[in-house]
Amino acid sequence: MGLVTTQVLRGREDVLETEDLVRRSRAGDATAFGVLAERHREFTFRLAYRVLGDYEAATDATQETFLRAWRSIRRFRGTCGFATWLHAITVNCCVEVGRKVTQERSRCGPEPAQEPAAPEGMDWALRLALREALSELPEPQRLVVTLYYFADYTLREIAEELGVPLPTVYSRQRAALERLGRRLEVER
Amino acid sequence: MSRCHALDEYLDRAGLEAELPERLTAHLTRCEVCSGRWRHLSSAEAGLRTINCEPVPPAPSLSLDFVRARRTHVRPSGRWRLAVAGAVCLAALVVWHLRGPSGALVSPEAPHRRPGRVAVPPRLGTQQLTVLPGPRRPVVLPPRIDVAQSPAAAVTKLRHHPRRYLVPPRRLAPAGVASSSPLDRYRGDDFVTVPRPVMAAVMSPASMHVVVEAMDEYRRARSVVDPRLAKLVTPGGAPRLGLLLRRLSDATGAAMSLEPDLRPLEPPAVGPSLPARDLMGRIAREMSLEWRRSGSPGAYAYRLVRAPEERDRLMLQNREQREARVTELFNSLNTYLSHQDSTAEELRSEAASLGARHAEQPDPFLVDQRAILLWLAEDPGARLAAQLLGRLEGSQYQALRRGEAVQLPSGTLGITRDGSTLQLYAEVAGPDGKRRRIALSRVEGKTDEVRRRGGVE
Repeated sequence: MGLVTTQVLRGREDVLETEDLVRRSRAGDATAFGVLAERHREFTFRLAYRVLGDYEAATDATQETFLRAWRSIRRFRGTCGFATWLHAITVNCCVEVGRKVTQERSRCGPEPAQEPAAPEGMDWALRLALREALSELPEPQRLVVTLYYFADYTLREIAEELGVPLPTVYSRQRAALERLGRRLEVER
Repeated sequence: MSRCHALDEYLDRAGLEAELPERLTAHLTRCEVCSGRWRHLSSAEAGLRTINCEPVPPAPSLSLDFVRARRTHVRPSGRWRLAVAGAVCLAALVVWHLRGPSGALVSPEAPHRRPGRVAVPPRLGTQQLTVLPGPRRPVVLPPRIDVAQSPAAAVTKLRHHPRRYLVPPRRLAPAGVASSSPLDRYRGDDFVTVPRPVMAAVMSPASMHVVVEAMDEYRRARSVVDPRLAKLVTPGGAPRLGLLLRRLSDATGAAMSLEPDLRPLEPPAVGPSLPARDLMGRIAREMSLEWRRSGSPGAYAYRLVRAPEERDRLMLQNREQREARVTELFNSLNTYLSHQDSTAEELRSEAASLGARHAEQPDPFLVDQRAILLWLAEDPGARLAAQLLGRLEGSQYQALRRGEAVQLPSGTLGITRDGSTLQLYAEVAGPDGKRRRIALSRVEGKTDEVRRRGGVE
């Protein structure tokens, strides 16, 4: 599949529009979906890494995201952009993978050697708590927060992509941050 | 504890991106609930932004077998598995029910099980079940027959075989013709073109009937034999196809016609006399034409037409020739265009120069050019027409090529067609204010027969 994808990408990447690739993928064209996956691979992994904070877990979540997207591409109706739809799947996959990772850690204990270095101020435990709190958010709130803080969407873009009024996005963001903040305060 | 919603209401309306107004900032200093909420929001946002600043390692390459994933996906789910299992059980029950004590597979309508019922032929398009009333009969293989040794005996032997491997020959000659007639050797008047039915339909139970009926009708039309066409005809060296068909019609009594442009064609040379059908077949074959039949049995009429492929080829050829003529017509306007702004004196001077060159070395082209220049010099209307040509824009030029008249402020340009002759004209107002039509160039017939002509029509 990777080979096919590489071959397809060569020379066609700029020619085929995302809509066209999505249409082909919905018709069962795995090659077209391979092109889509390759286009969104970097971004999806970055989002997964931001949410999970773990390379292996983010890799698993990325793989799972694309597998899940391929399985359900026929149900994709185009009510939002493909990228947004994919990000929603990514976030859900991250939650599932994150739960598994948490369960593993609770069984084996944390591995301090693998703790990523914090760039500034916030220690590892707080970031872990924040990520866990993120996975416990209701899905609409989690999507708004991850798209805004990790995927660099503006709130207006999120509203357009999700097809909801802008004040709804405001309130989802506010409610999510409030819950996350409360959780952080408890951890401190 | 009373809850204050001042901050929530503002943030839900304006969002976190907006600056807090002064009154709300002042409210935060006073309201403990709102200040606590603001602290939560700020710390969460700071935490998320910190996470977003973490360096991200490069993304791994994907190794996903998407096709296998899709296959896995389409595997029946639990509910479907139950339904499939139910269907399999039902099928097994039906098979068990259909199997008699002997184990032979029989249909419920088999006579030995239900003597009172008559086996109903299956509906068109459904699969026919084999109905065996008792134990299976041994398969009777056709006898081994050496057809090369004696074909006639082989056919007779096969016809009398119990399984009837050969369908008896169908009588093709129409009623009233003896079976021993030579017409029996025809499997229909094959020189007549019967178009195959062309159908487009969504497959449905009804569409199969439509297809079958259409094919039956097609086969019926193909197997028609017109006994009148067995008569001998003497072409008598008819010089034209129209005349030959008249003789054919007189000899057979069958109405015959042909497309008007086929009338003057020369028919193929044939022998002194031959059956009408053979002659008609040769005409169609050797001239790439088609016979079409209409009417009812006993009163069929025949029409000779061009084959569709030949018609298409001729249409294409005509179009190409027409285009070439138009191009030729416009090429012939160069003289007008190059002198559109010349004065009468300049035109006369140029004409005199051409005359001198012609005197030195005679050339018909120079004569034509000189005639045009003199005409332009003498006729202000012609000069105006030439100027009209020079003012044409690209789209107007294309419209003129398509045969459309182009309206310009000082006149009209257009092309008239008379058969294969094209004439470019200009309609301009003369000094007296009356509009007059000036013929500028004309192309006749073949592209090499171009004649330029100046003058007023």
